[in-house]
Amino acid sequence: MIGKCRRIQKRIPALLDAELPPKMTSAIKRHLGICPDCRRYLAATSRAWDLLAESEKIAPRNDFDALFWDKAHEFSISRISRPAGIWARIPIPAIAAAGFLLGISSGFFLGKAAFIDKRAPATRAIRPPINGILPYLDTFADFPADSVGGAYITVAAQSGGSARRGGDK
Amino acid sequence: MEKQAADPDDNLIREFKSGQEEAFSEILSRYKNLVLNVAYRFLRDRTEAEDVAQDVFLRIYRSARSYEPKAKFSTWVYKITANVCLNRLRNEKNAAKSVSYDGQNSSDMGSSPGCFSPSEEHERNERLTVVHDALQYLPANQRLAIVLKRYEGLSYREIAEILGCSPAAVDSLLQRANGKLKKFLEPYFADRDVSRKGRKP
Repeated sequence: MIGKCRRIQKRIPALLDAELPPKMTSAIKRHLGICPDCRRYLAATSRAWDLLAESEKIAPRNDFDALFWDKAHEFSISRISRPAGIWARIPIPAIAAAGFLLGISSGFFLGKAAFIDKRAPATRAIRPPINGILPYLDTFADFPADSVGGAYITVAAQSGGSARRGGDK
Repeated sequence: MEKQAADPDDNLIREFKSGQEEAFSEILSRYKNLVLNVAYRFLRDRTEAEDVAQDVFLRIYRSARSYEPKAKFSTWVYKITANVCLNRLRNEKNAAKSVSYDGQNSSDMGSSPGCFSPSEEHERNERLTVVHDALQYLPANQRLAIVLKRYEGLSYREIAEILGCSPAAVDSLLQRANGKLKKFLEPYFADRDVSRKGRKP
């Protein structure tokens, strides 16, 4: 009987909600006629529901509609100002990923063109004569002769040399 | 097809799709109470509920033009409301936040709290607090199912459609929710029975 009661009690909310098939409804009603425990369960459930029904209802604020229309018009304006067509449908992460890949690949090619080519052995062979340049300028010795750095070293070497010559006098 | 034509809201949506904004005003006035109260019963906070309701209508407004009536329009509205409520609850950091019913938040209470005598008022507030606590005691999906069943009177099939599960799963959700509510409310009823018996001469 206890096992049967447990099964019946599980079905009581659905019985009260009229969600059970007619056959099951009549079987449960028959059981309720003879079982005081299940009747108590039924009474407690409907009592709990009655209490829940007392929950208060609230009304929207007076400016609810006005507030909504403000937001809706804001949305309409932003939709109109957005670029139309296929671009508007592409998701932002896809655009970000494409931009990232473009950046990486263009960086790679630009770097190759601007840096690696200038360090080609033929170019590196033409270096300014660094003998006689002040010792701290040795750190800049790797600049190719035709670069701004190379020009600076040459000028510095010349002015340093003349200064030294002036000092010797 | 016949079922779709029978839904009076479909005409409104069709009118809105054809560019008549007034049709949406009608949708707003038909559904704002419903959306607000579902959100309020679920979240138990008037300000949050107002925010949710605004959010729900903005979503409906944004997607109404692409809406295709596969089910009742009201089911779609409930579905959006349920999703926004669940998202709000997930994002809410202080879930333990509660609304007190001690007069400070009297605007959150029923429509006319002033029409009760002080003792009735006190008893009513006590009941509201119990109901509030009982609902908060339930997990989110069970609470939503209870709100849709007990307050909105939807069928298991409709709730299933809104929650995206089977009617059997709704049945099971409601069984568990009812069991918990009964357990939670039993001490309250026992106290009340004792005090009533004590009052009798």
